[in-house]
Amino acid sequence: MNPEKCDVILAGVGGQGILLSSDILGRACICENRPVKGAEVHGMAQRGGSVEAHIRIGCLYGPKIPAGKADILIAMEPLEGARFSFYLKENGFAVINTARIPLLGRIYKTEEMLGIIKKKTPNIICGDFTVEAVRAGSAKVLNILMLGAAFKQLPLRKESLAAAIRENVKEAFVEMNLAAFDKGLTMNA
Amino acid sequence: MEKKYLLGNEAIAYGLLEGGIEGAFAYPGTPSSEITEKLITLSREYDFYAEWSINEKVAYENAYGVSLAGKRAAVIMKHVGLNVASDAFMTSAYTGIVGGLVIIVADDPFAHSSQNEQDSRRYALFAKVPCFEPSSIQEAKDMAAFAFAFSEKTGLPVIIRSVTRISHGKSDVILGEIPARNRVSSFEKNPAKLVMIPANARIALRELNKKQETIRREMEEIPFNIKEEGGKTGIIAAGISYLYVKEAVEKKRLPFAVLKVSSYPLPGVQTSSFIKNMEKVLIFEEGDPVVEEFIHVAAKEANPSLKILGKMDNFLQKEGEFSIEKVEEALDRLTGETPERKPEAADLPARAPLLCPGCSHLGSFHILKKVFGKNAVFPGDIGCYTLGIQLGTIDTCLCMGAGINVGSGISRFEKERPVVSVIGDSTFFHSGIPGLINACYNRANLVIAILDNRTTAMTGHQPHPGTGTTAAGEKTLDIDMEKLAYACGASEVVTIDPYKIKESVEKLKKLREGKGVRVIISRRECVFVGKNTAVKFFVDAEKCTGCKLCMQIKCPAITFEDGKAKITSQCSGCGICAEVCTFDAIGKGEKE
Repeated sequence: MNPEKCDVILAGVGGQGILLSSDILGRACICENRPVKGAEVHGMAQRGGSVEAHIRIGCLYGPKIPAGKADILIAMEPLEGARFSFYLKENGFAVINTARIPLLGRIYKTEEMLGIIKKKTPNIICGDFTVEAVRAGSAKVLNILMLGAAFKQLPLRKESLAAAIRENVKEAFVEMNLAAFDKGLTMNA
Repeated sequence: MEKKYLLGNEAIAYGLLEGGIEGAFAYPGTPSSEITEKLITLSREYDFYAEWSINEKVAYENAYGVSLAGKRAAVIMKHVGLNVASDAFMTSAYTGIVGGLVIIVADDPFAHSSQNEQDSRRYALFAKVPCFEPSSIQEAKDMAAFAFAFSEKTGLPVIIRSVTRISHGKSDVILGEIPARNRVSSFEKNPAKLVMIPANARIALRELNKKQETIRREMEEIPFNIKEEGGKTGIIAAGISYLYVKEAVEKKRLPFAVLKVSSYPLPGVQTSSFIKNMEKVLIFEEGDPVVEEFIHVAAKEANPSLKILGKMDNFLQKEGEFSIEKVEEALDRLTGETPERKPEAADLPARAPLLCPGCSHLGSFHILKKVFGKNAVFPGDIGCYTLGIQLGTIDTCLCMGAGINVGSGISRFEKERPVVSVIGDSTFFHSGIPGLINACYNRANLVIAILDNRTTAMTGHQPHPGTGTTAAGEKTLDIDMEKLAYACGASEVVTIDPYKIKESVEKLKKLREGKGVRVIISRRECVFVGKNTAVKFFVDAEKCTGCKLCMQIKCPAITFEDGKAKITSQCSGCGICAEVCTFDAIGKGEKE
């Protein structure tokens, strides 16, 4: 991987903290004085819609990652992971949460979703990160835990991400989030 | 110099601050709202004035007033907001301004969250005022800071046209100095300039036309138009398209000259010298072919044999946004390259926009259907409740405030079915009130349902005159909607709680049979604003017959598995489903 540039797609459902994760990655880039661009795609304001965030570390141009060019996909929900996996480059890296968030009146299987992602890349770490987040203190730290799980592939220093977490998270929850991040690290050892 | 990671809209707010803003006025609208949100926060720290106005026209006229008092003012809106403000806007170009007046307009190519894709650059040309268009977030910040002085230099209001990808993109941004705001000024009487009676207006138009020459000259000097030399093929790019072009040209190592245009009117001298020795140019711009039309005119003199490729010859799409992929594809067609195969998205079930679990609108729509029948005509309006389209309770959506008037119009000739206009609280204050007065005055036979969720929900929960607080969070009047509706001439006003289905249906029976303009106020706080309850509802699988009546509410927290309804952890405890169930199969419990 080019250590200067890294395109990251974050995907999930509204309310899963995707925009916070994207802000933390952006802020970590500022700590390291790297150029960074980002885009959030959230339609009309409501809970439960698909959310995608693009983070382009080292990018001088547009905020959106071209299809098939993302280095990393972090998906907090399997259907959303499959939906946005077309952004991944061949043999890119994916971290996928297998805990489903059901759709109104539609059933889909986690395995099928993982199958779609596996067609793009064999480099997948998947598991029920929601359960791990609850064990780490709250389902709300899922986003940070998954950043931890992707850390090894990110061209950012741990201390920059920790500083960004401290800046972007409410003070009372900083320690819980840092612990979740560390827990995520162990899931991609 | 400080560097921050900012949303485009936040960067614009910082730019206005660096430009010496003293008054900010806006009505919320995606994708513009965060500019004002940020300004409100900054106004506390830097001591300037910021307000949520009730609509864009009101906002514009307030900002114009601040300008006449000699101070720098900004007015912020989404593209369609400029339609609302256009009456004031058009003639303010005639009178000119005193303190710098900057209009930030956020266009929405692809209509991500809008009713149309109109191009605000047309408005700038229509009113004959200068317009700047940033191609990056850094530039959006820089232009916002620059625009005040430019406005004062030309004596005209200045538009900055943002688009969704600028406003909702994020970037590292280098911030500048924040000046001290210590202008001493006051309103100066100048009726010849400021009172647009016909005799003055004729002179003002002559002055405005004279200013055009100055503007064109100034546009040659501004720091935002950039020319990069190359071969006989040129690309002209405006706005965010420039970034896509840069990335694509760099990746493909194409030897093209590139002209970035960022100002309207276009810098004529620079543009003509760019196209002079070209064989062909390809023009990327989002919205209408504004630059392209200009190039066609300029080429007549500068280079009549120039081949111009763009939207007008259908080489490029006329609608929507560009992207790196689309620009690459167009460049491949231009150079005859075989396009790279792009991965396509898998065909997966979409998460359609839905009203939230516990949304009061779910209850309101269910009640309206029960009382007036699903065949009633429901002219609608703009807000979260436009999603009632999925429930069959929104039949029209045209523009802010239209629903009452469209309903009043339909009701003149629709005698068989009840006509029930649906409007939200913030939209009612924005532009619903004149329609209510008109319908009452002209003796329409109409029901108006105001879905009052106590906030401007869809754009991020901004306050309005029915909420009792200002943008700054200060206590203010909380307009009594019932009294207001009676004062406008309503024959009957009934207030209901949309969580209480049976009680509300009962309350509305008399109103349904009534005559004249009858107003329903369905009042319950938005679930984001109200207190979270510790209550959650459960389906008793023994009692559930699988009739799917509860599914009709379309609450996202209700699913159907193995022939029975099931309530997921998304339940917010509103209890609408329990009221709807006729088998007593839905019961209350504690949240886990």
